[in-house]
Amino acid sequence: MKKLISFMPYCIWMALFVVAPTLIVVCFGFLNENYSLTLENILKIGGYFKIIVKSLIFTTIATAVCLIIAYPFSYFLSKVKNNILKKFCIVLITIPMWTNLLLRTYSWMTILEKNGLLNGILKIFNIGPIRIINTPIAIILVMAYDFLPFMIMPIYSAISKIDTNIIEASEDLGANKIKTLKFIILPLSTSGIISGVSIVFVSCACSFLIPRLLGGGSNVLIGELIESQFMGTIYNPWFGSALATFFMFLIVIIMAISNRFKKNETENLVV
Amino acid sequence: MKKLFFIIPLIIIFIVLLCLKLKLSKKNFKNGEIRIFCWGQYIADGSDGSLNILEAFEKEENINVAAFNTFDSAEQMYAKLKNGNCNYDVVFSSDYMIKRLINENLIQKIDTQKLKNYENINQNFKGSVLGYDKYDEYSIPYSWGHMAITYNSKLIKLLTGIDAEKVVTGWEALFNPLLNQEVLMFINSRDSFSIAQKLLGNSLNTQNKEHILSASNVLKKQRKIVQAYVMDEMFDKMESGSALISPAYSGDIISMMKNNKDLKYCFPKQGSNIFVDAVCIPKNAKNKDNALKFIDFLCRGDVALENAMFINYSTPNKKAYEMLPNELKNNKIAYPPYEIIKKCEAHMPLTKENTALIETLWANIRN
Repeated sequence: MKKLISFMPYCIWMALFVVAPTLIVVCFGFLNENYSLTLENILKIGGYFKIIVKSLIFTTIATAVCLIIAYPFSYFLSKVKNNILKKFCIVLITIPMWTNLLLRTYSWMTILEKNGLLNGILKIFNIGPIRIINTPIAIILVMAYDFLPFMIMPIYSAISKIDTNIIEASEDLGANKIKTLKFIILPLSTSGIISGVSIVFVSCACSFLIPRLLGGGSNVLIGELIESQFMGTIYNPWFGSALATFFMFLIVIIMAISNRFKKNETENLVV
Repeated sequence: MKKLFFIIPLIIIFIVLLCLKLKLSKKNFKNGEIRIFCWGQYIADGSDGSLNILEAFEKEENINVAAFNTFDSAEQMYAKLKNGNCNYDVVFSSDYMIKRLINENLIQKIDTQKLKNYENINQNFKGSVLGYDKYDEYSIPYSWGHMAITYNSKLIKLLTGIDAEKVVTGWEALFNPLLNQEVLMFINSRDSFSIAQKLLGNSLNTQNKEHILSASNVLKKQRKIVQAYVMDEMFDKMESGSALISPAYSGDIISMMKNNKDLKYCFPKQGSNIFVDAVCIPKNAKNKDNALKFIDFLCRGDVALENAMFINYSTPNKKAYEMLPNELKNNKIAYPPYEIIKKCEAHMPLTKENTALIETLWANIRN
């Protein structure tokens, strides 16, 4: 009974702010203007195949960049013995998160702009102006920058939880550093990687401000497409909801696959 | 016991705060309240030495401004109004959106007989002249402006070797391959298609499918030389010289020119778009009398002057215009001669099919 009561606040929260809105969105996706059932919206999604694929590609690359930067960093951070240095590093990672996302994105615009900070510095060294803003590179760069902390944190906590005895045991048994990393540390930190990847992937996929501001309006991704259905010249919340439902569905599938991967890994280790 | 030391001061602070809050909200307004829905930064709020219009109104009429909420675009406002779960007494809207609100029965008629200051409004900007409100029944003009081109004369001369004034004479300058990757364009479909229609010599409001498709082709070709599709990002890019030419609204051109002296204004020879923002009363307004009082207040010369000075856009208020400082009064961008106004068209709502068609075409062009 006590357990049930302690569970209640969370249940109410979830029901009100997660389950109910999601249900409304899904319902809207299957309705039309006159509130009668229709599949028209869902079928219309096919016309935006290109945007969806593009969004998935950009998101995957940004997530991969995050992972490549975050994993080695988290690994070495967990090895740092000095406690003050360790805490200092963690604060450094979280500092950008104290600033609003909009502000961070705008500052990237001034950095990457044609007459911006980066090209100003390059000019001193006589390197011609490079064009980054309004290209996919700018979008992926800023996505990776914005969501990097969400990748580092779970991986770091997974690695630092690994029992040092296991690592010592593998070294005692003659495994070198690379072998230990490959067969012990990497499998044991899979859960951290999976949760990092899922948070970053979902956040990147749903961002609409970054592609809009850094893509120069010519790299429309799914987030912007959905936003324009609600706030654009064309007011079509029904199609917007259908798009959102479809994308949620897609993400759930991707998450389910990655979670399965996680389960298998841990089972192997227990054996 | 120790816990009590913490809890008692906390409770006292809480009670004091509660009392303060009650006292603050209990200003005792005799004449009820009013709820306003407006663009952000669209009414003088006391910053930059302006008068706080809402406070002045509260004092004068003894009406509580119970809500003052803002939106970024007329589409956002429409979405809220259409959903029906909001109750505002006064909303601000653009011309084409007013027509749509009238068509969908979302706003109500305004009894202009009850407005003492209505005669201050210049006839040229009323709905009956520009077509967005056929009998001037639903809307009271608040501000206006037009779309034109702004360009960086120094850098265009440097890039092309030709005098910028000769390069930029009309909309075709935005499609000039000499200015490759230096052109900005509006991100919203309607304004961009209007530019293409004017270039082709058609009306902004053409419902002809062939016209729309040929405009789409023109814009598709333009895509290669466009640096970015923008809205407010335009200010940074033009002022810093990152982009050299852009279509823009008159009020924005004035403020950009203040920050970069190389920027110039060009009224496109093909004609352009004039827009009027006006005040309306939603169908479900609860305090209609107060809404009328507020609208009348906005029409007063001195109040309209304060607002016009604050928002940088032109005022349709004749009395306020007379009181403007000379430099603004004679500003050809803010108050162009009548010949130029005559060459401008206001936006009308397109049919649903055409809106959807333009939106799809636009998404394909930009991708």
